[in-house]
Amino acid sequence: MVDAHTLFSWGDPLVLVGWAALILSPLAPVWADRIAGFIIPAILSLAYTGLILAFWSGAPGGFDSLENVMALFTDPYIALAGWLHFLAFDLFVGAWIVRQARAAAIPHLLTVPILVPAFLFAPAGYLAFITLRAIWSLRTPAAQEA
Amino acid sequence: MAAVALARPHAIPDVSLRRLMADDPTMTTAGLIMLTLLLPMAVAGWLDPRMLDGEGIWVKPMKFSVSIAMFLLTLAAFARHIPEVTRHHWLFRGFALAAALAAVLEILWIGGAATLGVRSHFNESSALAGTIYGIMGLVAILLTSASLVYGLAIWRNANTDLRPAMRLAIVMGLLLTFGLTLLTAGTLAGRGALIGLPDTGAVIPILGWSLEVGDLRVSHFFATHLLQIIPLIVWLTAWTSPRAALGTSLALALFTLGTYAQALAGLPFLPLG
Repeated sequence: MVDAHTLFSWGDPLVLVGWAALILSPLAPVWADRIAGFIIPAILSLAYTGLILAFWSGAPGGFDSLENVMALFTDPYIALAGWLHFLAFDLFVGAWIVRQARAAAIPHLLTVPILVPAFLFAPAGYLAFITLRAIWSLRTPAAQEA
Repeated sequence: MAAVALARPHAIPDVSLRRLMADDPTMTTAGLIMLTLLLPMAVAGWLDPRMLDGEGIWVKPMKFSVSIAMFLLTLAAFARHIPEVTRHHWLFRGFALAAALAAVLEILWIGGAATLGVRSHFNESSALAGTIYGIMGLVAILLTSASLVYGLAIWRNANTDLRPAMRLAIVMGLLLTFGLTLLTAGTLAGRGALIGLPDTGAVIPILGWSLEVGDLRVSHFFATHLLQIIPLIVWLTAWTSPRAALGTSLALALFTLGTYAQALAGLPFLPLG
């Protein structure tokens, strides 16, 4: 049986490949999107689903109060599942940001700095991106048609 | 000339997903759902330390998923031999949908029991669990009856492009799967898998059949896979005589009944334990 700590240690290198693909995406946009927006989130989602099938019923707590959610995360395997959920969906949103930026013709050099908060604090990165996109569309009306 | 005809193999069927989807979208979709569910169950099986009856708790749902996926995809592969009018009839489509839903329900039940760490079959621990077990018996019969319906529909179709031997092999496989599964699984549901008390708990790897005492799962396994085994033998041997196909069917039916009698007598399939 694989220990929760071992599985945890595989998560970071895996998503770093995805974020690196997004940063280098102008070189191979289709493959960067496949890797970061499809393959790696799918692998992490599979691990997440397996963890939930195996450990959910034995875990303490629940979704209905903050105390119960905190109790839930005292189980290492459920905490690990929660962490993989973060990693998977943060990367998924990162891939969405890069796709949207390309569609809006936002220069990649403006998008890359936003990928940093998207990686570390995903919702803040998401806010930063939708703000950037709004400002960009005001400055270049032609980009809206692209 | 007869020797030449005997040596000419049966055609290699087109079993691409595109073809199966075109002929039988219902069974193909359900079969693919079964295979997809295998992935998270394999991950869970890899991580989950819980055991039930001496094996990993995810072994059983995974075995059922593989077996039911094979069943559904085989039906989808045979569906081309049912006239299109029949396949598009609302009654046939409604039945196929009900059988496909039965398959999904079966796996949700067995997988759900595994995730909760309880028994699926033979669970009489509460009134609710017992009732669910009873209902799931009816659901399993509905699923198995797809084999009967497909078998009858192909039997009644005189205009398949199959040679008589292969047509007979497919029809016999389907009908025998239905009849013998009903018998073996029905007995299994009533009496439990093992006939006798195992000493060491030695089993055949992967299949999990007892090496020490009678195990009704052996005959259930052969009964449920006759629809694949009989056409496969006729295809591999290139037999074109309907009598050879009929003989193969009867021999395998007798073999399956033999494993059934063997288990009821308390004897292991392979006495190696």
